[in-house]
Amino acid sequence: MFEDIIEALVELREDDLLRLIEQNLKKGHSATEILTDGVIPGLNKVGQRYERMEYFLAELLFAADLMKRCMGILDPFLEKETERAPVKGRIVIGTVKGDIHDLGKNVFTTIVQAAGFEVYDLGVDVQAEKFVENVREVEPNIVGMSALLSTTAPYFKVVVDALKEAGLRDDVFVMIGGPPLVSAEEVGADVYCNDAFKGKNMAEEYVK
Amino acid sequence: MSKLNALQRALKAVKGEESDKVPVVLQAYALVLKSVHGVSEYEYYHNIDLQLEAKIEFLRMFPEVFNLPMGVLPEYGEFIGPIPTAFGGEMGWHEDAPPYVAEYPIETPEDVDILVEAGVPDPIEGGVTSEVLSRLEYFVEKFPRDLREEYGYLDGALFPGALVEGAALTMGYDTFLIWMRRYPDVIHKWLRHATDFYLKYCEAIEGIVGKCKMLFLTDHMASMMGGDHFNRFILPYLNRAFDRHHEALRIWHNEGGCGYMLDEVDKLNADVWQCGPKDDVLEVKEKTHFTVCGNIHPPSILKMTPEELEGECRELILKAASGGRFWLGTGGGMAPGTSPWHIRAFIRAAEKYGVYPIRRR
Repeated sequence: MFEDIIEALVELREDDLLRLIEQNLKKGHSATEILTDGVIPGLNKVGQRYERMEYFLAELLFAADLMKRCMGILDPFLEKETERAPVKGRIVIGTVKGDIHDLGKNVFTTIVQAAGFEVYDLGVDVQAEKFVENVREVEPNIVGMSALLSTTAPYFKVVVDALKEAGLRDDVFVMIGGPPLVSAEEVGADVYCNDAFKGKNMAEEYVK
Repeated sequence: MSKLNALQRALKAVKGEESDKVPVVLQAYALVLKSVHGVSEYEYYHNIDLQLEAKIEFLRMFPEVFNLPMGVLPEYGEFIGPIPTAFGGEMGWHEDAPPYVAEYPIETPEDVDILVEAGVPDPIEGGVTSEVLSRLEYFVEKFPRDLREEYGYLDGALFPGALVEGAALTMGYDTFLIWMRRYPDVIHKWLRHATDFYLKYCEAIEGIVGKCKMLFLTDHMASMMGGDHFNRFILPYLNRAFDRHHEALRIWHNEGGCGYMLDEVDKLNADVWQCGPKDDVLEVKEKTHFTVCGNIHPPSILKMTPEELEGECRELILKAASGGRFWLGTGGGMAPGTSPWHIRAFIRAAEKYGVYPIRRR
């Protein structure tokens, strides 16, 4: 385990973290090892602090941003490493039509990417047709949708209905997120979640 | 005791007095009022006469309810738009959802330097504030005199929108929150400048409605951080606005939940906190100085029968209304689809269970 990397990430010490990643690469550790045994456990510990309310959205976003910076260093090495960890699953995700609030979606995306999922982020204000088109093309295990507004949350159902009509609904696990405006049952989704780390656990559980 | 009106009842409660009954204080604005007229949100925001008519109709229909300034004053991206658009941001409009900041003027820390060096913009000159001020003049001209005189609507009512949240929306929430840690000096520099503009905007509003008697400040940023960040990045700036209007009734709207740092938010120099469904109203009353406004969960109301909603209100009244410092209402603004019978359920609950002294029946 890379305890120093884990600690630097948990304590949000940016300069130390990036320096330690570089140092460990120079020492000959593989990027896969550093990611799997250092960065991901560190991010999970950040999630635990968030659950215990020792950390808040500000810390979560900063940790997610640090994660991106780590990946910026590790990615070129990961591409060359033959032992790269297999992809856990594929997720098509987007903020639904009429809504541009993507804070939660972005945090969730970073966390599941770090956990080994391949994510196809369709962005904000996404129409049902675009979800269907991408599900057909990417063949994901999971479809994720987010909405912040009570006016846009009902659109979850429009997307689910469009997936049904296209004969794709049964092929995917549908996750919805945002404030508790609608239940998963009401819109035909499989689960509702308003916590990025719990959402990651649900995704992992599904693809097991 | 002679019969009090909705405003008088609310003001007595702020003094910690028990009046005739619990005040009902709501925030009925575009999301609710547009549906009464069967128009889209876009049409509602862009039709000043329709807005005025809808607001007056609501106030006439429910004289027992005090409607917060956000519901009474002109609406045109006035909550999140003032600061971002004053500095070059663009608003985006949906057909049936609230407007949003579509383009952030700040992308790099250097952009902050450039905007600060350019000075404090004039709110009359451009952006959302120019349109809101012009609409406000129209409202003052057309608003019924009796509603202004009896209930204090409009006169001295300031709703300048979000302050720290407005500053955050010049760069996006995530950038702001990340920069608090990465570039704290840049964020403070920006907050100082944005607050200067905000206070200038307040002065421009006062030029139309008169000296501030009620300040309604919406800002949800506190709920995105812990106590340390709150003390450094929220408290000094919100208190600049609250302290400037120390003679007025100052209301802080934030339904995002701050129960984990009540000691910290207690330092805010507002008189009333419109808190959210996650906050425990009794705990807020006991641990802070605020009069609590809230906190029935707005979307849940839509799924309740009138009897169920009355029951929820009853529980809240029994829990928190004794000794005043309590306004019965929703945890934040009301949700789309809230109907007149929902509002009547609040009024009935106040009449049935909220007559002082409060007794369990």
